Amino acid sequence: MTVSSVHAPNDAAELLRLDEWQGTVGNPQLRQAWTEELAGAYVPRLTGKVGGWAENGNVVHGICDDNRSVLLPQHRFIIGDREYFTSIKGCGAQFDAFTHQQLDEGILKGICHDNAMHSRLNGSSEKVRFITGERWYGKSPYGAQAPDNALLALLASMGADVNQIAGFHICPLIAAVRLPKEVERIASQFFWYRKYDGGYWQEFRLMPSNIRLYFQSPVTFGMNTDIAFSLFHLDSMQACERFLANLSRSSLAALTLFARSLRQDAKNGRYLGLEYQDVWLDKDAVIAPDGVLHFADLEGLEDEPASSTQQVKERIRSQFFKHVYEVNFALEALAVQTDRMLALRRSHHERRAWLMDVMEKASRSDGYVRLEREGNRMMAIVEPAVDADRLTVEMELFSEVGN
Amino acid sequence: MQASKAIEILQSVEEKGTPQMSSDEQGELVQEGLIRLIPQEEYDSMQRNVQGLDSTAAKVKDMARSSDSSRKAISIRSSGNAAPSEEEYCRTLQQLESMLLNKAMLDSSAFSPSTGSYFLLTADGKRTLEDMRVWKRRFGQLELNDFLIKLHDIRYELATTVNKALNITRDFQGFGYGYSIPDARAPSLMLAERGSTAARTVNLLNAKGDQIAPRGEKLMIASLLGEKEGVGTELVTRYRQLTAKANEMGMTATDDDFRSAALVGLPDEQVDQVLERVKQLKLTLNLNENDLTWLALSDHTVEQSETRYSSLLSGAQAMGMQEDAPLLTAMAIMAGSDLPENVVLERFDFLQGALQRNYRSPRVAAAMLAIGPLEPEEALFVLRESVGIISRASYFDDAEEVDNLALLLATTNSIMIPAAGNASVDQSRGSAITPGRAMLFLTPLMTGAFLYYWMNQNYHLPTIQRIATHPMHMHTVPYFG
Repeated sequence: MTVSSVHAPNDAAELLRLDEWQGTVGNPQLRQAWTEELAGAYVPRLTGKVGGWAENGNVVHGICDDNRSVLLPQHRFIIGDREYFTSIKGCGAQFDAFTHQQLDEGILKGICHDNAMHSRLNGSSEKVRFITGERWYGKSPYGAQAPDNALLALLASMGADVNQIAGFHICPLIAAVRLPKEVERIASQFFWYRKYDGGYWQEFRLMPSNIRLYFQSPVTFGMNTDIAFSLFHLDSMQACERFLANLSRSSLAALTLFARSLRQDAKNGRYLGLEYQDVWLDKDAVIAPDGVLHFADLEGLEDEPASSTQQVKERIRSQFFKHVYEVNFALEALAVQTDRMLALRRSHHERRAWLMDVMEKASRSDGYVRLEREGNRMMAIVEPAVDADRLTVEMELFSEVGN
Repeated sequence: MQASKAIEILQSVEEKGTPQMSSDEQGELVQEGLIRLIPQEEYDSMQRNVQGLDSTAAKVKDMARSSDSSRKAISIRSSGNAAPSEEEYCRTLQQLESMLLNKAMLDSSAFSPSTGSYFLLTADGKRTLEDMRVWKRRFGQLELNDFLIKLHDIRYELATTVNKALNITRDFQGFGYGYSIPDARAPSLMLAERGSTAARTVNLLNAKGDQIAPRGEKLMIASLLGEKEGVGTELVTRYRQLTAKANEMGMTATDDDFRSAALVGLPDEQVDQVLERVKQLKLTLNLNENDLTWLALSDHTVEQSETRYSSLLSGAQAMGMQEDAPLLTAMAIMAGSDLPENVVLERFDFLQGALQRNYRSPRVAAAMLAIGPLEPEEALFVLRESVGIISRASYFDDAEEVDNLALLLATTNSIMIPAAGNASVDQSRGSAITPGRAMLFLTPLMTGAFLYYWMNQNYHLPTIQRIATHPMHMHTVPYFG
C-alpha cells in the first residue's frame, strides 16, 4: 500500500511559471517526474511584474515552506511504496535578509539599484516574496540557490539509489534549473550590502512531508508532536510502534552515513565517506508519514576523506555523537506523545524500555548497524561498507537500558 | 473473582513471577482477555524457533548489505556475494521477525505452578492492571466483570462527549456566523456534556438582537445559558437583568459576565443575598468578582470564607508557593469547597506537582481537580484519559488546546463518576465522597459554569491564528534554511 505524502498547512504562495530558462540538469533516475506540467522556471509574481512578463494563466499556486521554498502538492510522484510531492527551493525569499519583517514592495524599493525597476514598484505593504541579488552566506543569491549548491545536491541524488543511500533516505532532486538571464538581471539590482555576481539556480526536489524534526516548519515533530500525530493518523499502539521502528531505523542510518557510504579511494590510498557539512538533522530533515526520516538539504552532503583506520573510526564516532541528540529528541517526543494519546501511565523508565526494545528489533534488518545490550547499556555496533573486519566501531547509544 | 484478587494475579504475571490462581480464576482472566494462555506445545515450538535467531540475523544483515549491488557510485554496497532476490530477502526478514516475536513472548511469559500453565499479560491486561492500581480503593471490592464495565463506562462517556462535541462544533460552523473552530470547541464540549445543542445556543445569542458574530467569550456565555431550563428570550432577559443589577450594586458586569450567567436560575431573593455577600467579601479579599461569587455561593459565612481563604493562602505560602494571580484564584476555589483546609491543600500540592508539565500555570487546574469528588490519582487518571481521547479525535488545532480542553472535560466528568454508583472510598485521607462543593444554592450545573469560567480565564485560547513559525535555530541564523 502506498504511503501518501502529507503537508502541514501553511501560507499560500503564488509563483509565475516561465517556459524559458538558461539550463536544466536533470536526475536520470527521476526523468519521469520532470513532467510537461512541471517543467519550467518558477519566479515570484513580483519578479514577473518587474520584468514585464505576461501572466497568461501561468500563475501556479503552492504552499510556503521555510523562507525560500514553495511546495507544489499538485505534482506528486511515487517511489517504491511512498508518495512524494514536489518542492522548489530558491523561488524567492519571504523575509527581509536583515530584519524579521516579511518583504513588501516598500522594502524592495529601498534596496533597488535600478531606476526603471524602482518605478515599477508601487511601494505597497502587501507581503511578497522576491529573488534578490544579496550575496548570502558567501556564495548564494538570497532567495534563489547558488549553482554549486544546486549541482552538489543533484550529484548526491544521482549517486543515490533513487531515494536512499544504503538505507539512508533522502529527498531526491528531480532537476536543477538555472533561471532566465532576465530574472538574473532583475534580481541582481536588489541587494542590501553585497552584490552577488553568479548564476541564479533553483532545485526541484521530492519530499514526503514538510514536517521537520524541530525547526523551520509550520509544524515540527519536536514542537507540535500532537499535531504531527494527527496529520500522520497515528491513533493506535500498533501504528505508533510501526512509526517508531521506521523512525529508529532511518535515524540510525542517518547517524551512520559515513560508515554506510564508506568506500576505498584506491587512487589516493584513502577512504571516502559522506559527511554532513553545515547541515543538521533537526532543521534539514523531514519525517515521512510512515516515520522514515528523509534528509532534505542535499548540498550539505559531501565526501570526506579518511587516510587511516584510526581516522575512519574517529569520523564514524564523531558523526554519530554529533547528531544523536537530535535523534533522541525525536524518539522521546514520539514516546511521550504515544503515552499522552493512548492515556498510558508508563513511567519514564518503562517508556525508555519500550523505545529500546523496538529500536533493537528494528536494527536487525540493517546491514550496517545493530543495537545490542551489553550489561545495562545499549550499544550501537557499526560495520562500515568496506573493511568491516578492521573498521567496526562500537559506541554507547544509551547508558542505561533497564528491563 | 474480586477485582482486588485479579490485581494480585496480574501483577505477578507482569513481574514474570509465579502467580497463584485457581483454574476458575485462570479461565475468567483468559475469557476477559487479560492474560493469554500459551499451550505447552506452542511454548516448546517457540523455544525451538528462537534457536536459529543469531544465524538468521546474520543472514539478514549480509543480505541487506548486498541487496543494492550493481548500483554505481555511492550506492554500491556489495559485500562480494551475489545480490539476493527481493523475494528471498523478504522471506528471510519475515523469519527473523517471527523469531524476534517468539523471543519477546518467551521473555515476558510467566508460569503458574498451581495450574501448570504459561501466560502472557495482554495489552488489555496491562491496561487493566494500571486501572486497578488507580481505582483499587474505590472499586476494588467490585467483581472483576463489574470493575471492567465501570472503567469501560468512564472511557466511553469521555469518548462519547468528545464525539458529540465534534458534531456540535460542525453545527456552529454550519450556522455561518463566522465562529472560529477553536472558539467553538470549549462551548461545544460543554453543550455535549449537558445534552444541549448548538442551535439553542445560537437562538439565545439571537434572542436579543445579538446577531453579530460573537467573540469566543460570548459564545461561552450563551452556552452556559443554553444548559438551563426555560425559553430563550426569558433566559437572555433574566441574564440582562442580573448584569444590570450587579452594575447598580457597583460591580463590573459586562457581556462576558459569567457570574450573571451562573445565577440566572436563582430567584431574586437568593440573588440579592449572593450579591450582598460578594459586596462584603470584596472589602477584604483581593479577588475578582467571579471568584468572589464562587465564595459567596458557598455554605460558609462571609467570615468563614475570609478565614478559610486566608488560612489556605498562608498554608500555601508556608509550603513555599510564591503568590501570584493563579495562586489567589486557586485559594478562592478551594476556600469555597467544604473540604478540610489541610486535606484540600495536600490534594492541591500533589496535583500541582503532577500537572507541572501540562500547564504553564498549573495552579488553577490543580485547584479545580482538588475540590472534585475524586482522589487526586483518580482525577489525574480522568485527565489523562481526556487528553488521550481529545488527541485521538483530533479535537484541536493548536497543541496547547489539548490539555485545556481535557481539563474541562475531566473536571466536569469527574463530578459524575461517583454518582454512577458503587462508590466506596477510604476516608482515611480525608477524601471527599461527595463533590467538595457544599454550596448554598449551587447546583451541579452551576459548578460546571464555574469550572468553565476558570478554564476560560486561565487556559482557553480564544482565537488561534495559525501562522508560519520561523523559530530561532541554534546552529544558524534564524529563518533561513
